[in-house]
This record gives sequence, C-alpha cells and structure tokens, in this order.
Amino acid sequence: MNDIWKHVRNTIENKYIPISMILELTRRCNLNCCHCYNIKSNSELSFPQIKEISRQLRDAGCLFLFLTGGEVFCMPDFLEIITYLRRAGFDLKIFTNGTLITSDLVYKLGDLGISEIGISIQGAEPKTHDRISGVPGAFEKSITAIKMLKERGVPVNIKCTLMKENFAEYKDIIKLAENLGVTYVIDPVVSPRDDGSRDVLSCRLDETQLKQFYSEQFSRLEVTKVEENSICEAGRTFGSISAVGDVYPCIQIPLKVGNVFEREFLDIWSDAQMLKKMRSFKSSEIKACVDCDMVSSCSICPGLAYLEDGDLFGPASIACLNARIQKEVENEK
Amino acid sequence: MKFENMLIGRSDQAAWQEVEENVVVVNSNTRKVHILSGIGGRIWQILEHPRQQTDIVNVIMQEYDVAREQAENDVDSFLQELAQKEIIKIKDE
Repeated sequence: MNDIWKHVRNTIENKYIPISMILELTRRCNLNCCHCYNIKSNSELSFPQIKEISRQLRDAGCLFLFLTGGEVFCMPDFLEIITYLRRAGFDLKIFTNGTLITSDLVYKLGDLGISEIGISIQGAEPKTHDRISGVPGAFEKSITAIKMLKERGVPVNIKCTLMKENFAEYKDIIKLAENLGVTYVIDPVVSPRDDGSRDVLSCRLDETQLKQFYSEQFSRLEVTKVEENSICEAGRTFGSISAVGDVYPCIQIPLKVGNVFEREFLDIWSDAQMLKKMRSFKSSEIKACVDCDMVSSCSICPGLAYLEDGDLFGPASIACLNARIQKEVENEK
Repeated sequence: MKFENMLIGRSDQAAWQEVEENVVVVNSNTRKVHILSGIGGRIWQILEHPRQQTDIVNVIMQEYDVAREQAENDVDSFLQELAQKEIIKIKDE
C-alpha cells in the first residue's frame, strides 16, 4: 500500500466517511425463500427518492453502493435507476435472485460497468433450490441469468446460505460455481428476521454439520483475525438505508438513527448518538471476549449479537459457537 | 499531444469519489483503485464533461500559472497514464 492510499484510508477511517453503503430499494420480492431475513411488503423507493438519496450519499462521501431488496429487478425502472447511479459516480454491486434478468437486460447491464452481481443459489439441484425459494422454475431462471451475465462479461458472485435443507449438496454448489466460472460465497449462518422473529433459525446447521463444513472447507476459509480494539465498520465507514429511507448502522442492525426524507443523511451520520457510541466502542470492551482463546477464530458482528442475544455490544452466541467449532477444527489439523 | 483533436471523458467503467483533496477512482473491470491528487484530481473534475486536450491544458495553465509547454507535457503524460488504467475514454470528435 503506497503512502497516498494509506493517507486516504486513514482519512476515511478517522473522519468516519460512509464510503460503503447498502441501499435497500424495495421490499417486494417474487420468491418466498424460507430462510430470508427480509419481511416482504410493498415498501419501495421511487426514482425521485433514489435520486435524492444519491445526492445525499455523494455529498457524504459514499463511493461503494450495494443495491439490495427484496428483489431489485421487480422494479420496472431498475435499469434507469442503476444507469443514473453509475453516472453519479457510484461503484455498484447488486444483490438479486436473478430470475427476472432477461437477455435484453443482460446486454444493457454489460455496458454499465457494474462491479458485481450477487445471485442467490440455494441448491445444486433444481428441486432443492426451488423448494427453498418457494417457486418452481426459479433455479433454471437464475442459472440462465448467470450464464448470460458471464458471457457478457459482467462479474457474478453466487451467494449461498448453508442450511439443513441444502447441506447435503453444498460441495456440488461449489462445483456448480466453478463450472460456471464465477466466484461464490457460502455462508453457514442463518440470521433472525428483520422483525426479530426467530422461526428461520430452525433451518440452521446443527453442530455436527457445522463441524463437517469447517473441517472440509478449512483451507478455503478466510478467518478474519480480530485486531485488538477493532470491530466491524458498521456505523463507521459503512451504513444502510432502508426502502422507506430509514438510516441504520448496518442492514443487520435494526436500530434506526434517522430518516433521509426528514433530515440530511450527513447530519444524521454525524450526530446520531448510537453511531457515536458504536464508533467509540472497542472489541476489547466485550468482557466475554477479552480472555476468550477463540477470539482469533471469531468474526465479531454487532448485528448478529443484537439480533441473536439483544446486546449490540456483547458476544453473539452463534458467533461463539462458530468460533468454538472452527477452533476445534484448527486444533485437529 | 497524443490525444489532439480527440474528445476525452471518464470511462464507463470508472467509479469515483472525492476524499478531501484527493479523488479515489475505481476501475470496475480491473477492481483497481487509483488515487488522483493535486492537478490530477483537478483534471478528473474537468473531465466531468468530455473535453479536448487543449481545453484541459488551458484550464491548467490558467489555474496553476504554468507555461504552455509544461502544461501540455504534464497533461499529456497524465492522460496517457489514465488511458492505460482504462479510467478515461478517448473518442475521435
């Protein structure tokens, strides 16, 4: 890393510039995934509202914008929206299920310089994926979209949430991604829903499955070593705006700090007490983690800690479980 | 000048943001991040709308009080660097 880049990075970190933001455009979705954290509704940002948010985020210093839903391609003017956001200067990543991506859209997406399209694939077999997503034929459509995007040169990343329903074929999902020539992320953590309901947690892998996963994928895993006094970037250089304009430290932390249609984003980002508290918080203050010998295998996530155990500044029990299993696997290697 | 009589603009692959006195530019194809400082950052601002190289040279001469020859050489080599990084596009006018 050269000096000028170090200087820029320090400026971003020290001044809490929201360089990366998630923008939830809609809560409508054409699928019914059993594990989804999103509560479906008709809430959706209009194009004029998105233009206003774009202005506010550019003024606040945002560069990397992650567009998510719901399903963003349900929006009839989505192509115009992303064209506008690209021209405004944002680096765009789009999260989608891919089922509504047509060949015409693929052609146009190829000209827009999209950094990545993340597509959810929850099975290597059509019946598994379709059962999880709740819509017959979804797998075929998503895979067709991936092939067309790949052909057009648009970077695709397959996103898979590992759960009991698809655990048996996760290695085939990896093979599928490799055969398609795209990258993939396999996440073994199912989160509680946005409204706090925990029914989805029954999908989670049991301890034996988790251990098998970490053991088999050990060499591929990138375990983020937790630096002393550090915690994730939520509320520091990263934040989230919902489909009604509410501002959150992260899409996984349902603690509203303001609304961009009532107050300028930069003022919310600078003044919110919750954000100030998060910024001054250090991982070394989590008492349960201080002397924990598994901390080097743990990714401390305040969002998960809040959703899981109700304390933003505490350990997440699911993170503790994952860290313990990873540590056991590490020791056995 | 290498790009004389051509129209120079920001590439469709470029994303950017000003961070204080610097401009951070990302090439979404290569995923490389480039930092443009000082006159480089100013040239990026000028390229908000496609321009000819002589227009850029004129602005730099005026704003930075430099001789034409030096401005031409500096702008020329800087634009070649940006073209190599594929964060600007050059079109025949």
